[in-house]
Amino acid sequence: MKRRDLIKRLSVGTTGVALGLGGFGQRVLASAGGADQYPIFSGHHFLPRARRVIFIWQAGGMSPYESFENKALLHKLHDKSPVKHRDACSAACLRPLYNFSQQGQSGIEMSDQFPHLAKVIDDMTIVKTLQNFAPAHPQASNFLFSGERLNDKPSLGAWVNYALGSDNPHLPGFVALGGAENISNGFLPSDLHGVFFETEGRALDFLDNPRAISARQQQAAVRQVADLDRLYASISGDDKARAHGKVFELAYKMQSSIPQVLDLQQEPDYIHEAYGLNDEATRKVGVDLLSARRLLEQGVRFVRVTDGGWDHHSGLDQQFPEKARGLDKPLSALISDLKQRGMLDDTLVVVAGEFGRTPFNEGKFIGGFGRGHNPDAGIVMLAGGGIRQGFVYGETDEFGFKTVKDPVNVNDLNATILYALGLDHMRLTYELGGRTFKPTGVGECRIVRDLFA
Amino acid sequence: MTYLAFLSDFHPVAVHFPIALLPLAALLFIYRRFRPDAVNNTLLALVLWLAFWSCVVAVLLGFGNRYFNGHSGEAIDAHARIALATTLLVFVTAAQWSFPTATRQVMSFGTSLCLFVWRIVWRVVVFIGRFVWGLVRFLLIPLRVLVWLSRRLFPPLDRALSATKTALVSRIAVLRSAIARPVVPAPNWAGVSLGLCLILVAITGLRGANLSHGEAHLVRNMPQPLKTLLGVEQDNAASQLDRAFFEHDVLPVFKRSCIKCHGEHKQKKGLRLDSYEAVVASGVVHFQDPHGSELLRRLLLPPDDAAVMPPQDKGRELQSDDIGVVIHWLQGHSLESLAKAEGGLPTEIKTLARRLPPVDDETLSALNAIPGMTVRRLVNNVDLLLVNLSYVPKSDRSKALSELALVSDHIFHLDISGAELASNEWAQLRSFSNLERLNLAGSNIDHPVLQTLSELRRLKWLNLHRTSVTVPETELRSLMPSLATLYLPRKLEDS
Repeated sequence: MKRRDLIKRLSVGTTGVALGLGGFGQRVLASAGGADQYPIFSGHHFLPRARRVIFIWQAGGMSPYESFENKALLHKLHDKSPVKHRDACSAACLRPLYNFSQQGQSGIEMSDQFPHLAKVIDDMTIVKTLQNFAPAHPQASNFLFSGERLNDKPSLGAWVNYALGSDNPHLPGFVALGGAENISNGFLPSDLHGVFFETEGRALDFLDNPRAISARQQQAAVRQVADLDRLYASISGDDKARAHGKVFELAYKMQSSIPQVLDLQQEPDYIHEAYGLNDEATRKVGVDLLSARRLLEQGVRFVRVTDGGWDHHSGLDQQFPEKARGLDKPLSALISDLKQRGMLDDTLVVVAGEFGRTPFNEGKFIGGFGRGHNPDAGIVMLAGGGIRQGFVYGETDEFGFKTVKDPVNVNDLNATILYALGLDHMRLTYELGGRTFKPTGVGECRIVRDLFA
Repeated sequence: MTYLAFLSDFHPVAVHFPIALLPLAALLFIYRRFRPDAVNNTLLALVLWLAFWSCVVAVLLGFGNRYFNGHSGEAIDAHARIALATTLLVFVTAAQWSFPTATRQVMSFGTSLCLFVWRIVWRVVVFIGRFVWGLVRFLLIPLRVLVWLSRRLFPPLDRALSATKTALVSRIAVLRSAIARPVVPAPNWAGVSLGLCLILVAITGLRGANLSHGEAHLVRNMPQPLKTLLGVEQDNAASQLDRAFFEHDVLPVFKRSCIKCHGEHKQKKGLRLDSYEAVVASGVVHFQDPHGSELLRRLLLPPDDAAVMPPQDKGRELQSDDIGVVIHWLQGHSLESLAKAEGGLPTEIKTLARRLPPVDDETLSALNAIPGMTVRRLVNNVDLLLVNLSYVPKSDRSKALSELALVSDHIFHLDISGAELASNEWAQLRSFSNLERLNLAGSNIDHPVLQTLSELRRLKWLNLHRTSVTVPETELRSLMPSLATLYLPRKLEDS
């Protein structure tokens, strides 16, 4: 649908069974939802398959060749340049460093660096053709999360928070663990910003009141502020005021809810063991993923977990096994934990970096192994939320360098995540400065329906 | 302004004056031929001036409608243009009867002008004809040389050809004299313009009526044989009904229940329902007007009515969804818009949703206003609800449940995970008859309550994780045969 049609449809209004969006955009906030939510519609655009999302960001970009892409040609051309050209001297091929084998009923080929993940591979879909629009980290991660090149555009989690909010009034709809990059609300109301929690030590600063302030005093102050904000918002129609009051109220509620939810001691020992909390190598991701699971269970809509350090330009052979080990056990525990809790049916697990890596050895110059950025073919691991099980999507060429079939660019990925939540990225829009913004950047992209069972 | 708007509403009344007066003038004009003494010019002129002024009033009110009552659009503009033309022509006609001498002078000047133009055109035609003839003669020189030689060599041929030529030349001379002096009879200009007035007022009136009564208001009830005889365009609008929709969803219904009597082999009352063309041409369906369509009226009659279709003893009984499909089609929806609006729902869910009464936005707002409660439609315009009760505080829960009782049939997914309900609150779950997905993880559900849940016939997904339920899976599955997915309390390492 063109933008003009969209605007036309909005202004004309729709009748009967036509797209009954009611009014959406910032003006109509109190159509059919609680007084303090942003119910831009009273129902979903599509049949919702997932109710929650956990997006695990392999910041830096995981190498496909050490995980899921086993290219025979690279073994043959190892340490040789694939083309005869004087500029090609830097492009010496680098073979996949680890052994590959087929795993699970589905026989998905994966490297021996993910032994635990191999046990749940039959619950997952592996996309091999993630494409990004930029080859550098800051721009690529902006594209990955907001569909735009520039900073501070609304992150996917903020869009989801805008559409669906949190089920639990005591917790935010959008939480970030492990890193606070790319969680902005952008131009969306400011209470939709991702809330960043530390998972080791204190989750949030200033959770406790100063000694001089009693609970009653504080309660009264929060009420006053929220009432004033609401009053001002009702006079001025300014969303910012409403958001300000909501942030205050939520912060107040989180003082009691957050220590509870993020108290991992409430989990039994076997859960600690399964998520690898007892092992220093897996502890960091394990704590984040277990916290994420507890948050999701308590009604948080979108959790973004950052697992940084996948940017292996050099030292691939030393650092990749560390990173893989750190993720492998907690991720497989998360998937099987969600599964046996009945949550995998409506929780979408997404594991992606901002791009893939090249088949060439960049670390050669400093003596070792390393790979550069490749925005044309990266790995996405998906599970739950109606995603197909034991399925591989997309094909790359014999080097694994270029996508030859079924490309999935970052906007396609985000449109697909929204689709799983029952949202149409073309109809989930926000009017700003005369332009209709959508969550998937500018231009066309597609929902990859093939990924769903 | 209000008064003008009010007055303008009388446009449909005012238009009937010219519509009546102009035919009256025409009748008087004809009657004058037989009784010149009974009808004089003054009377005719009076009627025509009355017609003119009534035209002016009608046009003014019409423009009033346009500017004060917001009537606008292409069809209105066209109607207004023709109305203005009609008014002008009525003025000219009336003037002819009031000032006959002046009119005659003007008209004779008009006749001379026509003749003058005709002469010029004729000169041009002759000039072009001569030029072409010269060209042909030039191009045919070799042939002519051949003819000339053969005429010299064969005198009989020469004689025959010159005889033919003489005959042709005399014929052409006759023809030319006939064309060169055309006989133009002096027309009765007053009669002609009165006739034109009648035609114009008829067109204006018809256009106006189309605007107020709908495009096909005159032929809507025309009997089929007459339509065929007159070649009347079949209900234009009906052909806008979506063909793909018909073939995909509607035709199967007709095939199942109707075409035994209205199909290829038998056409009771001449009605065929086995193809898109036949149905659209039948006159029993109207675009965007399901309840003005005879087809739907017959389908909706009570079963004991003599005219109900399909009749009780014949054909197969309609399924509940069938009429809904027909209504959607008659409303003018396309298959794509329907599919899009329903968000690609499986047919069984659509069928279920269409059977239920609608839930309005106010009800939904009231439900969402309860603290901690989230209620959303499964898909926009499909009134099946996703309900989350988990975070409703204990103090509000009984209120939430009593409000939910109003939409109990619409609840499709229900999440009460982690909540502790009282036994009377648990009892209410049984009334959620269309519940498909129930999340009870971490709740205080116990075995007796679980047994009452077997009344939920459509329940497919049940989560009992983190509960104290100890019933074996086989027993639960035999209790609830519709269950496809069941989660029981289990430790991670057991799985």
